Amino acid sequence: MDAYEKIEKIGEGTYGKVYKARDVNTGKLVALKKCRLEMEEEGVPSTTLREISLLQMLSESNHIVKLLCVEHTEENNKPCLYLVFEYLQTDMKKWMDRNGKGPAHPLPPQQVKSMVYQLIKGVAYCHMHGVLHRDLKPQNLLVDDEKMCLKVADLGLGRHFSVPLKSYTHEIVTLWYRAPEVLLGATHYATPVDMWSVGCIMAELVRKAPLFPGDSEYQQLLHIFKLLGTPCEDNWPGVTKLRDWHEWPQWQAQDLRRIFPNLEEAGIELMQRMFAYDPAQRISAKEAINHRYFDDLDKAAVDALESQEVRDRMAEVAAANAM
Amino acid sequence: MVKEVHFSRESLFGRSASGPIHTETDTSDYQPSTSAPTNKSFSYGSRARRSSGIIDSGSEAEELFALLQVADGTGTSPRLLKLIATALETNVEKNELQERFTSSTVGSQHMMPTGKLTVFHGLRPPPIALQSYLERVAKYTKCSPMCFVMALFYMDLLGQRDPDMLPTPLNVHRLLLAGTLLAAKLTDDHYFNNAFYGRVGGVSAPEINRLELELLRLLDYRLHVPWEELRCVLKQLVAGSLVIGQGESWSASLGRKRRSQSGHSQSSEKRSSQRRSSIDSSVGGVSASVSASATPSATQSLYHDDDDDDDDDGPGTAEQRRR
Repeated sequence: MDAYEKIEKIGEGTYGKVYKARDVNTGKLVALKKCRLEMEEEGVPSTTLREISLLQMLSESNHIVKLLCVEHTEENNKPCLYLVFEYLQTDMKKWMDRNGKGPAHPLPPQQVKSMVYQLIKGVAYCHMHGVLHRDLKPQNLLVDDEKMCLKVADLGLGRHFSVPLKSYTHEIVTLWYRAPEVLLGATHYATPVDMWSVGCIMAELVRKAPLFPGDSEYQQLLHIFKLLGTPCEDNWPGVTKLRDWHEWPQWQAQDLRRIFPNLEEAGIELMQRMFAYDPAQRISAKEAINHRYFDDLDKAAVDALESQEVRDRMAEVAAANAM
Repeated sequence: MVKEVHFSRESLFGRSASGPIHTETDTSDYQPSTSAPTNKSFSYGSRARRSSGIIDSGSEAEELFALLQVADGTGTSPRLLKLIATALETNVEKNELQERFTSSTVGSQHMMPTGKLTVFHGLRPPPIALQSYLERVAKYTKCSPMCFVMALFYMDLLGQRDPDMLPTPLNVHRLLLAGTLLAAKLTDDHYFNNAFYGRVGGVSAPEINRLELELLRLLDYRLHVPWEELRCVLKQLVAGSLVIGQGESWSASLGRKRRSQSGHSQSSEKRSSQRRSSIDSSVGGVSASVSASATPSATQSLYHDDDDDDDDDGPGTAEQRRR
């Protein structure tokens, strides 16, 4: 790890610390995610394996954080993995609150729109490559403050869905951003779980506060049902057959325009489609990219950034292959 | 009566790394398949991801898909295990016929490879047939059937990159165990930890951790296998034409391309080559001391009776199941 000079600790996860560091050779800033391998019983954590494997496949997109390399070292005679990422200054949670917390300090509507668009592009890229993120939340979205660029990060809970596998865990996604089918115990779910999370994040960007801040799975469902109405077989076929379904209090859906008075009509419609109870009816990331809510956004600027980035990457690869 | 088997071997790091392996039935010594090796080379087919979803239509697709279903809700289909065992035995026999191995002077049980030793090479073939071994791993770990197919893919990739990694009686069990473990961690939401896999597979916890890290390094941390490739492996399994590590498949060239893309600095490459050479030199030292000192009479008995342990719960406890 002589190639990197640690500057400061910027975070700590389940399996180790995250450092801001400088690449000694290039002078560029990087983020080093240290993964301790001291748990003799467990070996390399599955979250680390998944993150490395998925990011190596997805890092082409400008809206997914780039994994630059993996370094395998020894510290105190114990094996240790360092994941070397591109460095971004902040995450969406901190970025949102930088000019004051709460609804009294709303974000400019065009900034919200740009962030939601970039988030959907990142999620669409994951889904296009057969990957569910399963842990989308503001803390897992990194923001480049200068370029106003958002990148999806932390794929430790991610999973490929393009191969037939056994049932899925329902212990995914931080509670506040968890889809109702997962909360109700579905063991087979798909890309719509990520789109529900995107809806929650969009709502949080608009309101500057979490939309469904439950403190248990039961309370989380109550929060959702109170706002969107209690689901039934009419609007969600099969809901009563889910493992954790029982007779819930009956609420009528509220008008989202009253909850989000500053959000334009097209934004309300997009959010409603992200919050469709029936996963089969929920809008996909691919569809959402083309939603009319984004019609007045300078998509070309965002798309050009992406294309240029990918072009540069391809040029690098071509040069490396020619050597 | 339950037998306990030990994979006795000098580990790379100069000490014995043996572990218990409980089997329900007596297992004969490793017997390679007598079927003639196939000459058909193994290629992975189209690089393009299918847009049609998980699997092609038609009876062939249904047959392949059926192989991946969890049998009776408990484990991998016996047919898939049989196909994998047969393919591996055929490949092991082919590699033996190509005189990659010569009998050691130490005794008929000791077969020393003419190529370089790796962490996956044992001192002698484990006394359990591949099919029994596969059935055991499937029974106790309950990993998705897909994990075994992914392990085969990893073995093929290694064999293409390095002829010393082709499956032989001395390394095939460990390659299979480590590959299945990595695949399960990557794809399954519920899996057992390394220590449990070690107990099931007959190696110690420190050794399974070493196998995992080394396999990860050799695969360049790229564990994802596109469905198209897995489907190709399955088709060749069914056809009985799977040849591991042979032919210039697109995945081999992709492996090279990927490495050039992976962003490792030159110093990182140097470090990894130094690490490889240090592993090789330590192997050389071990193999010399083994051939000089080990004798059949000094070898620990491979079986011993264990009257107390006649339950069928399998090794390990519920705590060893992760997430």
